[in-house]
Amino acid sequence: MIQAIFQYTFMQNAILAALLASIVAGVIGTIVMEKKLVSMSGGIAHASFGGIGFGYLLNFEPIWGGLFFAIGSSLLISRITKNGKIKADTLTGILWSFGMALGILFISLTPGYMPDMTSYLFGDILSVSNSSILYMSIFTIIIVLLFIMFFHSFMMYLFDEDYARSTGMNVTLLEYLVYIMIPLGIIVLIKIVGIILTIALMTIPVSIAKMLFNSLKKVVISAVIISTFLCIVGIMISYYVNIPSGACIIIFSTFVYFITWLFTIGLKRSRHSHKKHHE
Amino acid sequence: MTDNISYKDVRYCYGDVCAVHEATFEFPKNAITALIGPNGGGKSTLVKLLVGLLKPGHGHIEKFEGATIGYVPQVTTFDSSFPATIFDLVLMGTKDNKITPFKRYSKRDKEKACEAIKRLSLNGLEGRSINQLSLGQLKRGLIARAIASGANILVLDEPDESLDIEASKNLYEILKTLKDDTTIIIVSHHVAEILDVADYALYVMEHVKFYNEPKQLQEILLKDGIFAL
Repeated sequence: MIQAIFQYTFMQNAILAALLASIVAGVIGTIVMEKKLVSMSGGIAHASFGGIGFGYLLNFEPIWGGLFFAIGSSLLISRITKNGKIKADTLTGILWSFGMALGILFISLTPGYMPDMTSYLFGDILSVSNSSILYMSIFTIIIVLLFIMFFHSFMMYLFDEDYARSTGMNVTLLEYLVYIMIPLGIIVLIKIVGIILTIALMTIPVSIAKMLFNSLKKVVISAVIISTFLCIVGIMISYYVNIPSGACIIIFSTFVYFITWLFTIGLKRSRHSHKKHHE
Repeated sequence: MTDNISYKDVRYCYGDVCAVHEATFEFPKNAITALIGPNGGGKSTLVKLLVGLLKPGHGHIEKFEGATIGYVPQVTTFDSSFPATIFDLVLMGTKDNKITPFKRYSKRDKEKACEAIKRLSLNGLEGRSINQLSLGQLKRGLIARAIASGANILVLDEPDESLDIEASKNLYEILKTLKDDTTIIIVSHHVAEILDVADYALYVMEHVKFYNEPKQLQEILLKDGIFAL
């Protein structure tokens, strides 16, 4: 495989895309996990399918349609649920299926052969083009830059929104930033693991990192490293076994998650018994 | 300008239901005032109005000159599995409310956090994860964060909730040591304990009644059998 990385552009793009997606998974995953926006992010990912279909129908780059729908649904959920009349969970569920339904409708209305949607639904890291790498890099830079620039404000907001608000901090601005960063991140992840599996890549590396570290900075950085490892091993398995890359990455990630979980439980128990023994 | 914290004709309604009706009263400066009353009576609304989480529909709240509020929310309002140590938590208190790019904590900020940790008797636990703290330690951590912010008004929403008697006592003792230079406002359901510690009391049930003598309120509540004390 190492020879293939040097030999083929598609392999180089795959590795680069995995690295970009891992950076996004670490940063956005942490935000999503700490703000408990996992199901909302799933909703946004699925809503983007409507935009992808719209792109096919009107013959423009589908991912831009996806981005537009993702940002739209993200802002819609954040604003409409603000007054508490509609629950975020309900609206997420509606947009989740509505986006998918629209995507199917637009694709069926597209003239000619029905396009193959599997790469959007399940991801196909081995078919990442140079232009995809370009937009993925831009989105990743925006996300990372915003997160680093406002790290301490984000930390306060993620940890205790009420306290941040009570200090007079402009929490609404941070909210808007988060609700724009999440769809940008989702669009990056779609290329790697597809709409259906984005939630897994946003949650698994961060969950593993949280079992190992107790500082936000360390969790984000280690989640990026863990995600890179999971993606690259996933790609390797996919390359040799010839099964879809997204599925490989997620199955391997889930496996690593449970191994880490068992390891940390074992570690806690052994510490506990060690302590008891000393008492 | 008032010398205390004055609510003047303050009203707040959630839709058609008003939780606070034209409330006019004062929280005395550098003293502990307890807010007690039944659930849904408006206690939390009154303090949320003070800390700015809610805006009065009518009337206004005046504070003494140089007043800075430190809010200590209920533990249930945030995720205690957040990846942070007690030092990270308290250091957050020193941050101003501006969303400044590339903000860094100064040496002075870190010193302030250490001082607050000491004041709340949490020294030695600085590097411990907040999810490894006991509830009492976590609540003291939240108070230390408010102290580190330089607050001279502490607003505590049910700080004694789910604490055992020993931890509650410990917390109250620490709060008593802070009141020389801090105005402390406590919402609590533990009526007997909190009225023992408080200098003043407010009974909140839609309307607000101020008591100069907390014992007086205790006797009334006992007589009326409103609370099992």
